[in-house]
Amino acid sequence: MVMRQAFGGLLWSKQLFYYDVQTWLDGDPGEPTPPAERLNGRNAKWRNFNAFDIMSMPDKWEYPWYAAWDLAFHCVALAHVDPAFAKYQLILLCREWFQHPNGALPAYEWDFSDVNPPVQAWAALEVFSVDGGRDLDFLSRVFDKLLLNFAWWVNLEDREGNNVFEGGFLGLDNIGPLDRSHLPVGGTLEQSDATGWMGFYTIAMGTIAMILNRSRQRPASDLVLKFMEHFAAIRDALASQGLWDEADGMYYDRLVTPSGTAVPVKVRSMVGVIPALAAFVLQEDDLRSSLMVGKQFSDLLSDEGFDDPDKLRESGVLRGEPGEQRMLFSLAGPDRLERLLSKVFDESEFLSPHGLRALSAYHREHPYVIDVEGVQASIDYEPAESTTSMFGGNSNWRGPIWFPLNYLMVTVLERYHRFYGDDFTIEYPTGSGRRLTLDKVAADLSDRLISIFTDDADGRRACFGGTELMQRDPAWHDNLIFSEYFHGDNGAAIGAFHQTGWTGVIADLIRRRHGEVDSIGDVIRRLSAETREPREPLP
Amino acid sequence: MGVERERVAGFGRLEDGLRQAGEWYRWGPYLSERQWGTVREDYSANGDAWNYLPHDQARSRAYRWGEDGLAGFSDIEQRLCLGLALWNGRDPILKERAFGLTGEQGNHGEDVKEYWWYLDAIPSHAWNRWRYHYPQGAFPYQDLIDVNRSRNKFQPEYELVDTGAFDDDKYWIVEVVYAKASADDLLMTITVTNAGPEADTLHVLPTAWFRNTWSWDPDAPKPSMAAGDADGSVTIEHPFLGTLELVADAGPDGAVPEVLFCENETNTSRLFGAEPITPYPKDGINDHVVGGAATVNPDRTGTKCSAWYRLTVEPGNTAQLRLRLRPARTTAATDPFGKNFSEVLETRESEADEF
Repeated sequence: MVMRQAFGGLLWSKQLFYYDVQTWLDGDPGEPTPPAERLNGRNAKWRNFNAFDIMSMPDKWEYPWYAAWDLAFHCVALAHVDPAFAKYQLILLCREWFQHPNGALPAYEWDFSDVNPPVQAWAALEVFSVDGGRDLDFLSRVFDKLLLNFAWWVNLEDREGNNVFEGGFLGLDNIGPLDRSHLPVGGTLEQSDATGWMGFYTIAMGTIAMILNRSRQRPASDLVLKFMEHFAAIRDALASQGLWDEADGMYYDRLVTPSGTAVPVKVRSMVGVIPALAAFVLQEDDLRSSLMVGKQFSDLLSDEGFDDPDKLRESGVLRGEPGEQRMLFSLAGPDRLERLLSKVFDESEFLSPHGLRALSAYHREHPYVIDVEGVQASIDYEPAESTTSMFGGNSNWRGPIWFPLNYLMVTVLERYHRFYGDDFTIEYPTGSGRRLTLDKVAADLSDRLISIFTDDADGRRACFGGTELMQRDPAWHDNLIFSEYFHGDNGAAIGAFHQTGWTGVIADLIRRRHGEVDSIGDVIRRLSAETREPREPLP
Repeated sequence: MGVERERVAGFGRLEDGLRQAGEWYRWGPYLSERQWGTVREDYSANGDAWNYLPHDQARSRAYRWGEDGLAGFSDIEQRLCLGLALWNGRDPILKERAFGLTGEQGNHGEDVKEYWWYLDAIPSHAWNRWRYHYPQGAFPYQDLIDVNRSRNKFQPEYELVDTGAFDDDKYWIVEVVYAKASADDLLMTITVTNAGPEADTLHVLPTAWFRNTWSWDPDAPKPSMAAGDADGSVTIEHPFLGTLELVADAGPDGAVPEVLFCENETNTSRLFGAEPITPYPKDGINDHVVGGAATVNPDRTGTKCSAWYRLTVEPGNTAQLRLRLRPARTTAATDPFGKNFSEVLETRESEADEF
């Protein structure tokens, strides 16, 4: 029932999105000319934008306009029921009447220039994979446009040229003490999530290039290397630029003031977890060619100890028999990953009965105050609605459970597990003394998310919270609420009430839980097996 | 492979858009729930989209860039829209669209104050089910605005259930199903259940209207709809869609509903005190049903029309209404509400179960 209503909501949330910015700015013939202020106002730089398309909306009342990063998650869920439509949405976002000539993807109508997490390449891969890994033309087509977008990111959001990225609020509204889009102080905010997202983006692009190359769709080995090199650079920057806090075992944003001092923003939030979402596995063939050709990447490999396979095996990042070896690359690296996960799966921090909180409950008792350049700002754990007016005060990332990040965490845990197998375990929940393999952790996290919607032992659904009418009355009880986000302590629905948009990924999680979803890794392996030529094993 | 899976597998590659990808995409739930308060409709100098076109103007003002409604359905270019209007006999306006607070009115920003659910749909939209709970008492429009305004950011939102609107189960359960007999033959059923303890009357007005495509482009041809030969039928002429017929079946009491007509044009006299564009503007049906005004076209022609059913339902009882929208030439061929109607509904529902 949960899955059927989730898909039902996703499909009902289609809408004609009609918006011709040029006409909207200049006005219609025979109508009064619109006020001149608009020519320098909202979306004035987006005269190329001219949509007249059926699109998937986050919520047709509260958000009756597409949002570029929400849409990526909708597509992953929609791919299970209508892969053609899902592909159409991703292609559309990159069409010339959407994408800016400079490569930027339009975020949403309130301000097309806002910067959202770059998740479209990842979504394209997932859609390709859910669709059975057949439609290489689709992947190739999206890839070309995303190359432009990738270059736009690199040019615009890395001011220092040091591979540490900015980007502003990045879809997470009020998650920091400072408004990350409009810093109240001078300087720049080097963001661990922006950098993490770029690592994530780089991996998705590299993986697409690898698939196109291996499947003989088109020669793309140069691009595989390009993205590997780029990944190596971002990884290096994240490791060395001071975003990691060794004492706390977290990544933090860092404010670099005009005088040049760097102040870490010590908030325990998903911002610092996002680097853990960026991980991929290289197979031996690709390792070999990278070693030969890619300079930065081979440096990275030797840093990792690639000259010494025994050492690599010992640390667990190199596995498999010679000829079939696989190596794990992650932005965080195994040691930091384990420390991060111990925070993430601590029930007094991120892990709630119904999924991961966007901000650690640690801040319930320990509000964080930043005091820099005469500006004071604070943040504490707020599990329900927002108490600030930042970004309209409509959404709250300071404690509630949000589906997109939970969903990515589940899928990356599965990826780690496919690499490590049953050899790698973590204590879950932290402090419980129970050690679990990562697939079991992913399954438990999925079950916590699913339990938002299903009846508990007392016949109550967490999403209805304290609304007794919905808890008890049969005329209400089976009509589910797929809200925008959920209470960080009890899972009650908050925010927009018809956001089967990205909350609709619950349908994907349910299918995954029943083993009905192939992973990208499986799809790549299958494609590789179909096309691979035999090679000599690595020494 | 199931029927719906075969349909999905047949969807094309979409290079040229959805229309070319498959005929089943031609009709779907492509209407928004809210077009007022959007950036697109905002022509203000300061970009204050929520206040430029607020909910109170929505019923009276023609939209430029899209349409909204309850249980909305339309063709792929939203030339022709279908939706539902309801009136409990006590509200000051018809319920034509979901009510909610704007970004500034809500103590936690914009928030819809209604309860509806998307219970089911399949990718071809050959089967779609929607549900809404409508209070029988006067809808607490002002109470929702006032109480939320008085609350601060540290208090929870004041929701419709908190107003007592559903106390003693005094509400209507309204379910709408759209099913397609074929890609262009659309069946609509509206099922109304009185959840309350007493018999009550609900006005149900399934509505069809054109998106206003003619006011902004002097060269654009204007489509039209007019009462057809048979009672309860409407003939729709559209330069892109061709000739269609919309037929409303007799209600449970055997009476064929009256069809009311007005124009999808702005009520300039209500909003701006200006000369009216037409005596039968967008809110013409609203004003006629609620206040008895002479604001529907006696010639029974226009660009927006509603079939006006008045249902008195005993407590716990259910009434069902049926409509059909299809290409006009089929009229003579088959009875729109014969055995075929219920067979299509059953078949599509079982296809959805299978899917």
